[in-house]
Amino acid sequence: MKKTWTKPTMCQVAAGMEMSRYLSAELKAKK
Amino acid sequence: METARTRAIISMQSRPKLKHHARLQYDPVRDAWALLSPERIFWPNEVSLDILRLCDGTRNVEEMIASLADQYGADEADIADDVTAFLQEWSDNMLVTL
Repeated sequence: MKKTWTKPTMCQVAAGMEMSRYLSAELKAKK
Repeated sequence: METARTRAIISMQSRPKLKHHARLQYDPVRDAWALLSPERIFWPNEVSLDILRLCDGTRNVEEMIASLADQYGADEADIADDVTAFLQEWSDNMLVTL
């Protein structure tokens, strides 16, 4: 089935807080 | 000292490529793809992700639009503006080279 075209968007998050959350979530997932 | 840089303007012959410091990575926790760059993280929607995946420096914009139109069963003319505006925006944000 073909996908539906929508306007391309990107949600930007400044690193710092988000990066530490991202890395801790990644580490938890590896355990 | 001259610090201003020349703004790259997209054309159908541009061959967009992700900057070397930006990479796409799958996040199993969120079950989503993230675009990681040193100081910022981006969460692209499905269409953005498909555009970014084609940014490998081998295809020009015209070929990218044709490929996306095929993937989405859309008319090339209907999606061309979205694709070029997206690539221009992320070139201006220094994530993509044109």
